[in-house]
Amino acid sequence: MAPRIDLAALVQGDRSAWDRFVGDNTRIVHAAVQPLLAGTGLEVADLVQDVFVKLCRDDYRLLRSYDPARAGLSTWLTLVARSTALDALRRRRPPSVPIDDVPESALAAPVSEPQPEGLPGLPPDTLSPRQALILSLMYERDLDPAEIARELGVTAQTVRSMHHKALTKLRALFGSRRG
Amino acid sequence: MMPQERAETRQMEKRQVGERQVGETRQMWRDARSMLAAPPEPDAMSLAAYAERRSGRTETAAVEAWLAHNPERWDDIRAARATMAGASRASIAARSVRATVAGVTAALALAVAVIAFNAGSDSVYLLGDHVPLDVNMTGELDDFAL
Repeated sequence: MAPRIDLAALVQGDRSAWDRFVGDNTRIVHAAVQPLLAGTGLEVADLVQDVFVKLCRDDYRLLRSYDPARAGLSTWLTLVARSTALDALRRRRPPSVPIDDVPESALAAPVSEPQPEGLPGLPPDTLSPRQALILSLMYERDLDPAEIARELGVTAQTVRSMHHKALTKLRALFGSRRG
Repeated sequence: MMPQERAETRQMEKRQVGERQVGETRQMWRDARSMLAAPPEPDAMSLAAYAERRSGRTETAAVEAWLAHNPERWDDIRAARATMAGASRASIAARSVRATVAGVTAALALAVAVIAFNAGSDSVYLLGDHVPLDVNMTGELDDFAL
């Protein structure tokens, strides 16, 4: 059964409502953050607590932003939890290593990836957001058209067609600018 | 060369051509991505509506534009959908759940105390209890950045 939420009681700080809310949703939050924290040294239990505390900040600002008409509580809570975990990972200071232990090659100035020449920026309507997402999932996440189709809720043929149109546009643009 | 060897060589050549084309296309996409303006991060509510396929056209476009720039965050959408399907609940002991409830209750208590203290109150009605606020709490309250 989907967890219910008594928003009015929670934003009043009602203790029994909070006990019920945290008790009902701890396992969901735990499952959301655990894969992100594996091997990082951060405590899952602490992060789970941070997620619930985050909901209360600034007079329950985040909690008040939840709209049950737009998405289920567990879906929303999973996204809040993962975002909190990613923030915590970004904030975490990397472990320090004595400079004598660092190989000389690692101290060299990083070589930045060469930027394409003579391309000041793409017109904003070059690719639709969905075309860009399809290219991104295909070339950054190595998903095939059938997987992307399942994720986006469309047919594989649609994915292939949008992919083809997107590449045609990019090739025309890059070709004309470089040519 | 035997017919079978010829067929295998042809297959290998085709594979190599295919891999080279994919590599070139991947680079072209990365070049394009680096030249597109980075969209703002949608809030959790927009992402949740998207994950449940309940977002409107404009909101869907905004979320997908952001995901195209942040493909690693597609895992968030997958995780949300797994939770929605009931497939994602950690098997943790009831004891741990009770500990979390107690921890959150304590954190909430402190949060309310901070707000009241900063507002100049000398006591606060907190989760059913009347709690005096002591000036000695200042250090602890300062540490609690809520």
